Amino acid sequence: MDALGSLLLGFSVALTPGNLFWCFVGCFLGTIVGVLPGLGPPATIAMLLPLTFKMDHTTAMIMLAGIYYGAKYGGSTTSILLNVPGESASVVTCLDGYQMARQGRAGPALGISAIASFVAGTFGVLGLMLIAPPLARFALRFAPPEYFALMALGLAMVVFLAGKSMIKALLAMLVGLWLATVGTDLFSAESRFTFGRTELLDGIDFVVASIGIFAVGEVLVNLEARGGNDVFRIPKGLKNLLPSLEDLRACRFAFLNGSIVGFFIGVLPGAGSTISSFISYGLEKAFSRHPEKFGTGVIEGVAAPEGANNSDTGGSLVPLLTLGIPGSNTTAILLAALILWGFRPGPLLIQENPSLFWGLVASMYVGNVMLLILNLPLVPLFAQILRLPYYVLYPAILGISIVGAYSVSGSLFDVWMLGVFGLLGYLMRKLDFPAAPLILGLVLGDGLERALRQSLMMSQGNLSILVTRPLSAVMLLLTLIIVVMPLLQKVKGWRFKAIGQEV
Amino acid sequence: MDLRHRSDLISGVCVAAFGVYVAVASSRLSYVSEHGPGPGFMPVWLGIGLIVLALSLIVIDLVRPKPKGTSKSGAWRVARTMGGWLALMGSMILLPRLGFSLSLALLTIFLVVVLDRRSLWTALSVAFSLALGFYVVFVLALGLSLPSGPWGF
Repeated sequence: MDALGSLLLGFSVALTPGNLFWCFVGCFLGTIVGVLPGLGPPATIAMLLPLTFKMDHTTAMIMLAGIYYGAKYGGSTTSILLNVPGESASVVTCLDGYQMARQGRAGPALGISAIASFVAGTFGVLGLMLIAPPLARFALRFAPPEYFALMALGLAMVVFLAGKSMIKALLAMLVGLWLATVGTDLFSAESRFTFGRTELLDGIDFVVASIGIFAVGEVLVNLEARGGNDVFRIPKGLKNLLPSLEDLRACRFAFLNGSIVGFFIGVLPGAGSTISSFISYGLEKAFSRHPEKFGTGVIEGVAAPEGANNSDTGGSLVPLLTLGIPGSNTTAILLAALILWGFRPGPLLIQENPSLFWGLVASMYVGNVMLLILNLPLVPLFAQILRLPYYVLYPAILGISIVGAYSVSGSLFDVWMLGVFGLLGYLMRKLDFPAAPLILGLVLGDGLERALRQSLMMSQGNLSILVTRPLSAVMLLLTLIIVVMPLLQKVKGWRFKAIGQEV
Repeated sequence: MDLRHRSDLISGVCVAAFGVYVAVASSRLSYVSEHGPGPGFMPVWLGIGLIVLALSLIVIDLVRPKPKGTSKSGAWRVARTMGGWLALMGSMILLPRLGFSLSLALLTIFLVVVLDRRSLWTALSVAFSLALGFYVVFVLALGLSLPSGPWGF
């Protein structure tokens, strides 16, 4: 059966009234889960799993997948409005999204986020449909050295996240990498930097750290001054609450960048949508005509990471459906669901269950349209949150932050850690240390260390394994170029200055 | 030396000290194990990196000319923030005893009355609305289990 015929079969499955209804339910639930920190897609899917046992399995899969990609749409809302990342992949959206909200452009930021999610989400589904099996086989060629090189490439994005001082950005990144080492060492089971606290044996949760540094830190900075009645300016009229044609034009490359980066990184098991959002942001800044404006409220800085984290959904379903390998917590639960229903996810899934695979693919097209229709009208409504006076908004942000931290593992220790990270975020702002590199280090640290140690175990301590394998060599070369380029530009600047002084 | 203009120097010294701690603490972990790099491998290098970069920050700060004029940030502003942070930490400590709703309400009252100098009635109405809103959305609608006090909320 050719792809078109298969897709038609998929649409005949997805467009039945029952499947349309459950697709909508999944997308709607996903949006809510994404907007509100505390209940992530893995927990929601796990909770709803028992309810699906009596449903048709294709319908159930359509609904559960709807929750998965719907959450990605909703995740940006609190990042943009309150600087509280709704889910881990939305941390990068805080950088420019929140700044846009501060400038009275919360509506366009939310709107472009929904549009980028739609464009990239659709691209991800296209990728899943057209190149799933060969790509999954390619992803299997990624061994520890390649993963190390990928993580190094991700860390090189610190160059684009640095503010005024590269040294401070690198220091923040190293602190993030150190935070990632806290907990039990997976290789030796030794505890590291736990200060005798059993709560730290599992390590520091990335969500707690990012909510503390971004949201609580922001509130603390704003507490310094007693402000006016409104924190943010909200323009009136629907036209001003949605992205303009100019905004859409500015985001052309961001849509493409987010779509491609998100999908290909999503295919790699374990890489995660947070990495894809950081890398797409870095690329967007690297190729921008005004890189210096990133971090001050640039619309492409919202479109690229939001697109990447949605395209990643389609990518992450590739290894799940074609190889039976889950790349994230959510896909692990989806895998469990498939196995519970009696399917065998793997190379034969598409041939043995075409209506499940193609029905899911077609429902994702439909779901993306539903989410766009659902999210765009909500933009003006969400933007009204910013009309709240700051003496209501700040306690609300602190409350949401506490709920978000507590619900990570139901531990009060995480809530106290939130307070500590809040203070750290405040101090970093006061001392001009960028926060994003710390989060980048924390996200990538664990994977980087694991991949490096596995690589060195493979080669019996010989570091050349990292550069003798073509894929990892290419990625490490790219990393080197990204890191060295700004240094060369700086040296060039000094030379021009010196020549100017001589003349 | 005017310390208000020496934030890089102060932060550099603090981070360097932290780097020394990381390097020393990591040196107690095994650097190599039977199968390859040990648990101390990565943290040792992170500690060294922190020290080197922090020293660079210190040197650059010492060499760079300092701007003239006074610092914009007054001590009272920092005190306000510290007051807000301590109130936040206090409400977090009270969570297991008073529950989420009451702790949030108390935090809100402190922020509105003490830091923002609004009337107690305003503070009470904001605190009540927020506590109720959070309870309805997160506990009743989403079924999340939040810390509850002796009153069950």
